[in-house]
Amino acid sequence: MQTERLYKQELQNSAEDGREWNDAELVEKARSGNGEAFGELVRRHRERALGWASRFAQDSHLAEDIVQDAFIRAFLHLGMLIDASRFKPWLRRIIRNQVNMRLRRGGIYGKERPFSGFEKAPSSLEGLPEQGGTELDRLLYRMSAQWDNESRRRDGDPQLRIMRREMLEEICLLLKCLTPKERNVFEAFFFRQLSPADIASEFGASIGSVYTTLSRSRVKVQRERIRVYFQDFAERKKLERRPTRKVLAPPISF
Amino acid sequence: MQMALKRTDWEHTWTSAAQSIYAVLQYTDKKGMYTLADVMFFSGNAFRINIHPGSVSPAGPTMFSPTELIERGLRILGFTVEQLHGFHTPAPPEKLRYAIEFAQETIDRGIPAIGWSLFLPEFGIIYGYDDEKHELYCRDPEKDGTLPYHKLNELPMNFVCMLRVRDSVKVDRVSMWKKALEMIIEFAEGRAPALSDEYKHGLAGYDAWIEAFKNRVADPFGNAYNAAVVSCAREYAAKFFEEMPVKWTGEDELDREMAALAPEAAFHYKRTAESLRELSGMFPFPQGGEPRDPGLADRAVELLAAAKEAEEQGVTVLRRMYDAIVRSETSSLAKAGDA
Repeated sequence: MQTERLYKQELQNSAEDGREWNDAELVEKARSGNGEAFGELVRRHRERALGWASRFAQDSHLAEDIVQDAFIRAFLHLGMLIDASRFKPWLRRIIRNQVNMRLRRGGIYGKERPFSGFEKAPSSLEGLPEQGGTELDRLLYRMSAQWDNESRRRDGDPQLRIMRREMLEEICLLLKCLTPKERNVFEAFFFRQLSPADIASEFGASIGSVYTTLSRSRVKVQRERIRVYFQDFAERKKLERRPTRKVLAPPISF
Repeated sequence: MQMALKRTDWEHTWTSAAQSIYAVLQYTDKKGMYTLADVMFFSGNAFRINIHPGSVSPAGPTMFSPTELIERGLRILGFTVEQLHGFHTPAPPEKLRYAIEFAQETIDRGIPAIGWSLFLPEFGIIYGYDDEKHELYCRDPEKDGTLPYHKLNELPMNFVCMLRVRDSVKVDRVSMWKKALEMIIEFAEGRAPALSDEYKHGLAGYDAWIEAFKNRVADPFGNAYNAAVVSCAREYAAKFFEEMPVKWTGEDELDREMAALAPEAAFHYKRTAESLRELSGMFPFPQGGEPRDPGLADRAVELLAAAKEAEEQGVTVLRRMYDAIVRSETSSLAKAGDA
């Protein structure tokens, strides 16, 4: 994983005057694409993060996973952290959210759902936080994998900044399908890791309407991603001389 | 003594798994070889029943893997089959593309894919695509229409599952029958691989259903749906056995035995179908009437007991058919050994 790789990197974490950089300085450096600075943040906070995760999750293996994920999220979202000196509480909130998400996702159908026509589908309201998180996780994992590959290939710090900007651009592009209000709520939930209750009070809305907005936005962003993904699907197939349309004779009636 | 089957439409069934297999067959070299009744028999779907004793849930009929509901049947009918590695949605676009290309590959070969829960939670077929418009052409019991690629991420059951036929292979009659009977008897005895122990399948399914009526806990919609599915299935079983003698017209011992057993099986499954047809009439789909009304529930218990009794006898006949096949195989092996 990238965090481990970063962790293992040689650290040059002291400022010119010989004193250690504080968190806020490291965050700033990491934001401008310095992987070593982020590595130092990981080193400093890993033990504490593990402690939080173990306490919240009551499971040391799960805690390891959660911390790993949390640092990836933190790295990808560093640009969204408004006050650089608040790195520690922000990381703690990410870990708390990750724990909640994983525990909520458990239960008898946590991993598998019965293959059946009429088993209850989760209502959009109760299933929302973890589903939204899961979906975003996938997006981020895809992006972080991309980032990982790219950086391994080019092996240079200047690329990191470009990669991260591209990732953010990709997300921003998707978010264009939302109305300004939807975008604010969406960003508050996914990037600033606020709870629906916090968002409701920040925007002066009811919790119910925050859930509705999140649910609607999630569907819109998902569709947008797929639309963008398949935009040049037909073109690519044409280049490969593969058929782009085929409709068989109408089937028998059902 | 012979009762006539009331059903006159033998081209449609409530069992969408079998309807989908039948639809796909029309695009293969085996078109015209099998009737829908044949498909219902060889896929085992004519003999299915899966009841939750606490609710008679409408999930019952499909609480099995697609391997059980579709793949085994297609293999017996003489096809090799491939399944998409199913996944939950929402999923990343790469996974959706994988599913779309899975369907496109078989459509390019001229044969539709079978899909789960396309427009509603039943099986249907995917018979076309248009990459410019980002659409699949699908047909299921709900409708014939287009399904935008992004809708795969929003299917009614949040799960993408597809199967496709690969090659058409030669199968011999006796082994087809043997495999089908094995599967049908396994199911009747409650030994089929099921996804939930809470549901009861095979003959025990009738007991679970009776229990639900006695406890007045049958859900009107689920009860009506199960009654429609199971009564339709048994009508197809009876129809199949009625037509079975023409499939065993040879001169040897096995042909004579099988042809002689057919009317017996038809008789028992007809009685099963009759009782279930009356039950279905009392609780019409989708409203389902009043399954918790004491008078109706007591009558339903009688009908289910009668259906079970008849089916038990039917299964006994199927075991005799199976034994006849095994005996004939053993004796032909012995003959081969002597020679």
